[in-house]
Amino acid sequence: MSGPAADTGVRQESDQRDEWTEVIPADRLAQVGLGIVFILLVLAVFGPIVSPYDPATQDLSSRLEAPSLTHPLGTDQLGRDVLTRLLHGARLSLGIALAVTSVRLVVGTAVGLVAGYAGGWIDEALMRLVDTLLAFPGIVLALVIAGILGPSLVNVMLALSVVGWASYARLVRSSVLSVREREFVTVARLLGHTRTHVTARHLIPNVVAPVVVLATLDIGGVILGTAGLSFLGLGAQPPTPEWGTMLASGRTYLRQAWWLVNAPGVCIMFTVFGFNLLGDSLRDTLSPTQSAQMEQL
Amino acid sequence: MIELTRRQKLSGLGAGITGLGGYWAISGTGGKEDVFTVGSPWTPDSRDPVVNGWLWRRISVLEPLLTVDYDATVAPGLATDWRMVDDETWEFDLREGVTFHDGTELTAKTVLPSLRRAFDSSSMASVPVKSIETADNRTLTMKTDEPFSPLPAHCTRGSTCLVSPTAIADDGSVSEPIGTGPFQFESWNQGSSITASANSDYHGENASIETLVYEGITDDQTRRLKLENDELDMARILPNETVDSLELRDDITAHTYQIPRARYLVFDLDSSPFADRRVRRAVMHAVDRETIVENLLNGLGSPAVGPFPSDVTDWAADDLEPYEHDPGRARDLLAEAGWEPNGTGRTRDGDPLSVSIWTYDTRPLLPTIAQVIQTQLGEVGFEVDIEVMESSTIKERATNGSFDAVLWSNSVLWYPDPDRLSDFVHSETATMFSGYENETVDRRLEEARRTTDRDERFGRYAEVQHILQRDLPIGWLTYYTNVVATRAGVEAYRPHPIESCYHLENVTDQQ
Repeated sequence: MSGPAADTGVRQESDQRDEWTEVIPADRLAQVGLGIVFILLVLAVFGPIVSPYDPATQDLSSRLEAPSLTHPLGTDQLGRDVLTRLLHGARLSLGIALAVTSVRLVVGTAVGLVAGYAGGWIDEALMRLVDTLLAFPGIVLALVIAGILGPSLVNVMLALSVVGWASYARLVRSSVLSVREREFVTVARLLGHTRTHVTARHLIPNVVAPVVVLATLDIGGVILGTAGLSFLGLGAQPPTPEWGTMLASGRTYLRQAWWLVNAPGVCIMFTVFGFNLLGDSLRDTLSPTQSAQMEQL
Repeated sequence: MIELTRRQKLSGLGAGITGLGGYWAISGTGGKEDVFTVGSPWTPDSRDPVVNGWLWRRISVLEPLLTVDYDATVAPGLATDWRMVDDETWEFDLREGVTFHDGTELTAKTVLPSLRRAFDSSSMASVPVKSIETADNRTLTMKTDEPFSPLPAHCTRGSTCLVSPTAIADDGSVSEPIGTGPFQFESWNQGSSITASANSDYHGENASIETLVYEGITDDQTRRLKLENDELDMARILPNETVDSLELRDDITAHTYQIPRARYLVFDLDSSPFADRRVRRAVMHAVDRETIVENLLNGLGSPAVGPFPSDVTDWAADDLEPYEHDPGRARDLLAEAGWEPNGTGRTRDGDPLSVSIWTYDTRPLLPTIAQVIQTQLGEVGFEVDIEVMESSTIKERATNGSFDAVLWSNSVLWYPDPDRLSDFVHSETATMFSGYENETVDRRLEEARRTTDRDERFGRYAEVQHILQRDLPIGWLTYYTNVVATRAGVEAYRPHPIESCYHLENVTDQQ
């Protein structure tokens, strides 16, 4: 760990960190987004603990009850408390979204780094693969994969992970291409550091910001995708309280019990909205050059 | 990138709106004259009677040789009389004064192409018809490979509906349903709707409705909304929960009637744990069918005993012992079969008692019922997974591989003959994938096909029902009640027990 070049890399990264914390609170939309996400996290973590009901326990004598003090969001066709199921569903949705986004992020970043840093035919091959994946509408491809694998939540996660990593790879590769020509990278290589060291120490810290932004934006998409595939019957199987599944099974009771569809529908809407607001303002906050980079995609 | 973000936001909103969408989806038009519109879950997919004849028969465009009356027995149709000449030969006397919609007279000769085509087709493959000939101008002779007493019942099926010889092209395809019914085909939109007009040359009483429109609307909420908005005059197969609120309305009449359809569990007899009869019996004792009927079916329907609901058909064996709800007995049976309690579940030789129930959601209540069964079986120690799939996927997977149990719903009498049991349990012809093989059952079913004597047949079918009750290859859960709603001005509508025809030609509509 010697030479000023290495320091330059580190400093750049920490500059960005400062920028984040300073600017976000000033942005109204970001505050809203952050607020929604924060409330959601709190509900997902503590809600199921606080609720007196079990999401799967049926009470057939009190089915399809309208919202009341005992059941703030009513009960469903099997007498289960809708609010409790939503809270458990929030856990599930957020968990899946985080897991899928992490897989996308890790795979995409790895591919992007390799492509960008190695260049040549490896770059060419990987990028054509990415092109191919991007050419398909993501949700349609996921639908096909989930359809082939059979209905289950795990398969939906697999399907969504497979289709989503390509844009990360693109983003990372383009960042790497610009960063690897920078002096501090050249210096680090001249100093005899290994590729691994250069990548870990100098490349990754410099591409992480746009990737995080993309990931935040992506979480909303993944939640929507999971709910969508579950709505179509490819995801969570009963009695799992998943938002999309709840929406689908409540549809039959639209006229008798509006709360069965509206509650999960509104949840999905606000969650996706929150994450997208947050992601948007994160992107605006990070330096204009990075915004520009992402727009080139 | 900005583009992408907006799209994501929009689609986020979209998901929320999906939930609210139903409210705004329908905008009323109404106010039509002389047009009677009926909405049903099944879409018109083909004009060929062999494929879609049952639908054309239901809306009285096509008619078969024989019909089904309101007692669910075979009745005259285009043939006024039929008799068994010898063991393998049947004669049908054709009705006089019938013309097809294109003007062709109905005679033995003009009926032949259509009838032969039907019985040669794969939809009628289970019916062993050897030949169909004309005896004279008004009489048909049908020969079977073996004595086959259910033949008249099969002659009521939609696939056998008669079309004019001019409707059959040289290559054997049918491009237009030119039949003999009180309504004649005008136009259609494949997969969505059919328009038919009254046939003034009908051989029976002419229809009072001038134009009949059939709409295939798969979503039951949409059918209901369309009825409430005056876009439909009749909405068929509505959810049970809607009856109470529909009956409160002055402008809508709700009809509920039992049909010979059952919901049932098909067990895989070739794989653990349901290979053991005691485990199957335990399931039947663990499931509380009264609760399912009372709560999930809103009291419409009834707990099933055997395959046939005795209210609809007299083919039901009358002294079948029902499986009473008795969790204690279920636990005993499981223990007897070697499944010992272990924590919340049960194990045998270290294997957990875990089963997977497959079902489908085109009949919306099935997944809900599956969840109740899941809980009730859980109480006696089963660990149950539910998998909701396409019905065709279930068929394919259950036929080709092993499974545990399938929650299914089907008509037990869609042609009015108890030979239908062969489709469920005959070891060679069953389409219900349980893998059940019982020589006595096979023999009795075959014997019952050979005799036309009703009492002899009844004895055999009753014996089969008793054996099935003991062996339980299929666990009968509940019978079905249909909900059909019409606008209040619609009169003289009489629900048909096996829905073979809506008989809309009898209906009058006071706007």
